[in-house]
Amino acid sequence: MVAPAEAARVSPWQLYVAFSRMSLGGFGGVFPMVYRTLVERTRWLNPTDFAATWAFGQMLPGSVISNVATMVGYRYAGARGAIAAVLGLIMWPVLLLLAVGTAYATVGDLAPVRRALTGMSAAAVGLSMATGIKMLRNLPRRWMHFAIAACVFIAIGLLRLPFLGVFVLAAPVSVWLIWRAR
Amino acid sequence: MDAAWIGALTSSALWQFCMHIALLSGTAIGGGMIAVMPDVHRLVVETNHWVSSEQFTSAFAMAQASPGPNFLYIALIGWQVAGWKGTLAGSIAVALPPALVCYAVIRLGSGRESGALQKAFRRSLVPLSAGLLLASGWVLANTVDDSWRAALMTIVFVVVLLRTRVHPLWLIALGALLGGLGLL
Repeated sequence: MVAPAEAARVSPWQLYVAFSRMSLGGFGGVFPMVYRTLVERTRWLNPTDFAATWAFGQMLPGSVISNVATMVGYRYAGARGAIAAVLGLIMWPVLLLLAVGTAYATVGDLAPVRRALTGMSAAAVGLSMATGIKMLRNLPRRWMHFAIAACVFIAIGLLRLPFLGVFVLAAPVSVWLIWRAR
Repeated sequence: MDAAWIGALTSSALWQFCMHIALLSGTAIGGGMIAVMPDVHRLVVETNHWVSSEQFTSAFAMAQASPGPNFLYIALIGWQVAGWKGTLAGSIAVALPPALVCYAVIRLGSGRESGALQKAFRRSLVPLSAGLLLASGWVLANTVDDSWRAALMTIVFVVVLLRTRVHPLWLIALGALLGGLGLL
């Protein structure tokens, strides 16, 4: 799945450009852009490969999209490809955010801007919660799925326990429950 | 050789910020930096007071409204910790560790899809991630939704996002408009 392709026909530069375009086109979540680019436009991955790469990226730390960039870059152009893809993914957004940060430092204290940012934040909170609920909704309806999600929510959201400790405890229990209920 | 500059560097807010973010990003399985947002909030707001809670949520909202991967909200929090250096160093701290882990894993050749245990692990991550996302939303909501109107808007937006296929960016723009007009 992630071994270098036998005939590497994609250059690091092409990977850089493709991932730059994906990240700049991806407002509020890059998944649709990534699928369209990798599967439909460039055909670097077929749908099965894409699903496998995406799923594997979820099992590693960090965001799925940057793991997909690392894997696809490596597959087509080795270490240089991986660097090019990840760089393409973050470089332009970071430069843009530098401008946003500068603007915020200049006008962020003005009352209308603060009020607008509060409104944006309230919307962003809704986005995060809706994504969590959607993930739960797409699972098979078993009590244990809701129980695991509820325990994690209580431990991290309400009790404010550190992520790593909760994860180290919750992941094996969660795997065991789901393994047993196959 | 004088080691004072090492001490000065390692005790600076920028260094502390980057080291903690690197540790978090390198271990954040099951949702990445959005899912460990409560830990980031504790680090920069509660423990070290580098940024205010309001600045934190603003950074998150502005990053959501900008193109690019979601985890780059760290770049904007970096801006508030240490200016442009914070943005650049924070971006490296958030992007590099997972890329190195991923690279090591594929080089070691365990990138094969196999086994029921691996499948169980992957499936068990979904409810974990869902719980983490809800916890992140909750921690942010505690800062943002201090008026009942803002809280109501959040709830309405959750329902709209679940019921329709509207693009999230429209809702963020609507939130900015309503907030800017002083309706929240």
